[in-house]
Amino acid sequence: MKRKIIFSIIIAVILIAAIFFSYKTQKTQSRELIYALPDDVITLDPIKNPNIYNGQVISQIYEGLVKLDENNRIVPALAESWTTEDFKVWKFKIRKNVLFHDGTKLNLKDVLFSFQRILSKDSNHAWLFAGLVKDMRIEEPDIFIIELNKPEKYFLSRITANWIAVVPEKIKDIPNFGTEIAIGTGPFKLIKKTDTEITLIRNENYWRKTKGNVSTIKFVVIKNDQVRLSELKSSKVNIMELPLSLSQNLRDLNDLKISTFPTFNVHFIGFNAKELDQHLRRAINFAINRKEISEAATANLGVINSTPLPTTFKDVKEEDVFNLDEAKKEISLVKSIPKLELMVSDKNNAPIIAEIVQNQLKKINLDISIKQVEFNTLIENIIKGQTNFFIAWFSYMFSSPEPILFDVLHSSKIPAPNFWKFEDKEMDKMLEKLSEPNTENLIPQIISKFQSNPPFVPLFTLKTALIHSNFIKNVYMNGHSIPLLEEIIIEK
Amino acid sequence: MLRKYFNLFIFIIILISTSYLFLNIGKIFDPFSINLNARYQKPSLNHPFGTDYLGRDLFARTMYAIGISLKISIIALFISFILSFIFGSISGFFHNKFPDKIISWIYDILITVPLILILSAALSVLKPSIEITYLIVGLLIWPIPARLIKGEIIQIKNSTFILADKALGIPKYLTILKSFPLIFYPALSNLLFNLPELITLEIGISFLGFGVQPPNPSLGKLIFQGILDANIAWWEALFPVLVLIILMILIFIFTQKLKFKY
Amino acid sequence: MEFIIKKFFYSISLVFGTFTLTFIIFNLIPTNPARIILGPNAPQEAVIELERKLGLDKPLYIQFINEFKDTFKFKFKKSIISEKDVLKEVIKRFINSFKVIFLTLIFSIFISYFLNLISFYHPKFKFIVNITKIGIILPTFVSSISIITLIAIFFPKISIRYNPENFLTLILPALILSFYPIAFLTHVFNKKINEITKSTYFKSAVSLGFSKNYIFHKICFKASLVSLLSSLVNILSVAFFSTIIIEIVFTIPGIGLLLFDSVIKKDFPMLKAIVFINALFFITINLIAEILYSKIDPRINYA
Repeated sequence: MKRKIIFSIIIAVILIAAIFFSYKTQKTQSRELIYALPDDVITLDPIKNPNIYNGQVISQIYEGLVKLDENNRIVPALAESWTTEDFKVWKFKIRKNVLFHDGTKLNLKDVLFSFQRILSKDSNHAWLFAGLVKDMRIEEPDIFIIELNKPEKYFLSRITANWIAVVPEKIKDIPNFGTEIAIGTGPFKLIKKTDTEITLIRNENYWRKTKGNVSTIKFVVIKNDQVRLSELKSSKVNIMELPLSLSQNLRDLNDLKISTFPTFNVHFIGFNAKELDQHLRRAINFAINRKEISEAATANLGVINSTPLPTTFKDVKEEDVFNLDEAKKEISLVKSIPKLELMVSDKNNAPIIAEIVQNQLKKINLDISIKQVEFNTLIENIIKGQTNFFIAWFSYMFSSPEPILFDVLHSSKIPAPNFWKFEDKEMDKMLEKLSEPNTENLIPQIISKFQSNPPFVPLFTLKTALIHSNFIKNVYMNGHSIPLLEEIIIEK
Repeated sequence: MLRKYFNLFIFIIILISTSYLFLNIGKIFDPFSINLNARYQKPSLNHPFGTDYLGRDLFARTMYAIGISLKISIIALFISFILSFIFGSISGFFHNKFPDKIISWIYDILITVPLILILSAALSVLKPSIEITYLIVGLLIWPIPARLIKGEIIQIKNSTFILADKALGIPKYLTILKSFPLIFYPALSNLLFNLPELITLEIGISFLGFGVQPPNPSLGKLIFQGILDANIAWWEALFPVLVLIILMILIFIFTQKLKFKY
Repeated sequence: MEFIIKKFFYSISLVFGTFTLTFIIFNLIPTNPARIILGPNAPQEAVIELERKLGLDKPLYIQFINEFKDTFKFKFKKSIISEKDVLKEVIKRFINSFKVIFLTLIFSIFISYFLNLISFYHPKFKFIVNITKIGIILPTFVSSISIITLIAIFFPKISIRYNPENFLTLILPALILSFYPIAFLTHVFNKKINEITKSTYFKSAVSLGFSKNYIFHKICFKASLVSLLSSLVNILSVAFFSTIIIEIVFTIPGIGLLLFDSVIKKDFPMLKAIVFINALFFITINLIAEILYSKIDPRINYA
């Protein structure tokens, strides 16, 4: 019997030792970037990109005709230059001597094939161009032409994301393209893909000279926010985005560096503009103290915003229309106040924002209740019109203000992305004029019309905070939330 | 036997009054007023458990949360008591005949269908609220006592006093009524023994993000929010977890002492 | 033998019943997979187009009949979201989860065995068994997340992520998952031993002078085997779906998380495959268990 007890104690000791030994730090290769992602990478086929995080991986492997630099200016990528006389016919001069990751040369047929693919039924992004493109053709030796149905001066902003990308024509014969194989022209090549890790190495034949010196990137998926942060603190991972749920931890990061970047998004309180009286909506717009919300719910990562455009655009100023007296005036003009139920999802600290909003609206004697549902259920409820008061956000795909305003305010965009069933004939006309040239003063007019009859109350534009080890320098991210990893310098 | 019932009823009354007690203690100390200047304050005389991410007093919120969790569990208990009683009795009386076979078949299927699917469906179809949480938790628990009731009834069917009634020609329904008091006790006590499970289920539903709606606190919400802020505010998680453990241990000891095990 | 055949047909009916109920409940959830794939920005026309492509615009009863036919032929489609082969993915993840659960079962069996052994030999240590029973009330998620947080605060340099090349990183997750099973098994075993202690054959064995070792192993253990086996089956079924927390926290690509994702993202092909494989697994386990019961305890017969 004694023997058995001693035996079991020995086994217990071995077990505990095994646990500790199993977590020995592994040597990382020099110049290896280990980027932690919060969710699975579903596909490496650019036309099927489902969300921003997946897009961050895809953006290292692929690129399109143009892209956004760290100042969100449109710069040449695979298109060396472009011309248009009437904003209807766009001619792109394709760069010569660009090689795909498998060594083959990029030619015009690949570009045409890729864009046809992007507009095809299999693509998740065809809707970005729906009804817009009349024809696409190539003109040897190096011109690719897109002809639109109507002139659109901001057309380029539709194709600045890296997943509007060029792939080689031969992939139509590769059945596991996207699931196991990825061939692009980008600064990094895929060498290994498992369920939780994706490994890329630097593309030695990349057409552009970059400042960076990262030789390998490992994308690691860690779903739990806290585990991800503690992996960063223990140097198992050296760069990640700070999730909003842990934003209060910003005070606690000692030898880690934080770089923040404004991206194209707006977080808002939405209404059903048809059901809720204009004065009620104006009252709520004036009663919300955005500074309070930004501080308590986003640790000041949220840049205060009262317009539908992300503050990332230069003409949009940080503005707070907070005015309790105006709010009280407006609320007294409302004949009958309906029962207000604020529906929120569980993401991006929306429940916390809701609690603060509930508290703030008490000051104008508005008592609201809160309903928390799953994110997809919230979107479905909004689209079906089953909620008239909700908190959500948009991550915009366009990099210029005109298509954003059109998408969000034009009546043809009901029920999505015009969530608020907003229909105003005058506003529609102004929005349609936006695609014409010389309409700079139109945007401020639209915004002030928006604020006089707000279909939704913008709260803030969230900056993305990248936290990384302090030996990682030159970290940039553009407005599409694409980290420019090819510029990163690792000092050792 | 009367003594056992007496103990049972006293226990239930203690439970219900404890729940109200905690709810009221919480209300006195104000669990809802937000004070954004007093966020994340350490425990002090003013706020014995500290303040949370919106400056609300955590002592009040924890007390209120215990009250809510207990209230939800007790109501869910009664819902599942009724359900398990109905289904268990049918299974028992018609043992091995058609109704029993259908109920067992449905029960087996319900176990195989993943819980998360049922929860998601229920929570997205029915608007989430405290009442729905009661209902869902109650619905998830009823099979356990139902099986027990079925077993008890089968035993009773073969006991002498039932046979005696049969021999005397007393109509079946009167006999059935007689056997009910014998079944109440094991069913209810088994459910009470599962009370910690009910509280746990509520915490699980809060983890998924549903259940008790903001700004109402519940043990699950407090614990999970506290864990997120654990690096900067250790008190946010510590006190609710300690309180949860003490609560569970107390319930456990009581149910053991009153010999409610089955 | 006749019994096994009866059980087999009953199991088939269970599978089809489960399938039907899953389909019904799944379609009660109002979210739209096409909208989930395209995101909230996409216009409604694009969503309707994708629905058509995925075959979701057909009326429900037609969808049901098609799915039913497919299941009968064992044809499993590709996942709506990732376009991966559903069956391969489910089996891969199932095996991953099973690695953890297997370890958990081993820990639970050994620890509950030793605890009861010690308390049998030295009644002073009975309190250890009683304390373990408290583990029943600790929910897995609270304990796992608390332990992670404690490790993150006090040992920030240690990484607890699952590393597929290093089997040892499964030990901590398995240990945490086993809090409940250990408590449960210990409790069941202990209860059985207490029952047996009151029986006449036990008392006669003691008075006949058999050693404590013999009594524990040949009498107590053997007599409790059926209860222990059925508890193990019970634990197995609870464990598979409570692994979701362990999987989230330790980054193990297992089946709990796959199930959760397929419900939230409304990926019916994946969900169908999971429910199917799961049902198959448990029917097999239950069948084996029932055969073992009748072998171990000859008093049990299913005639």
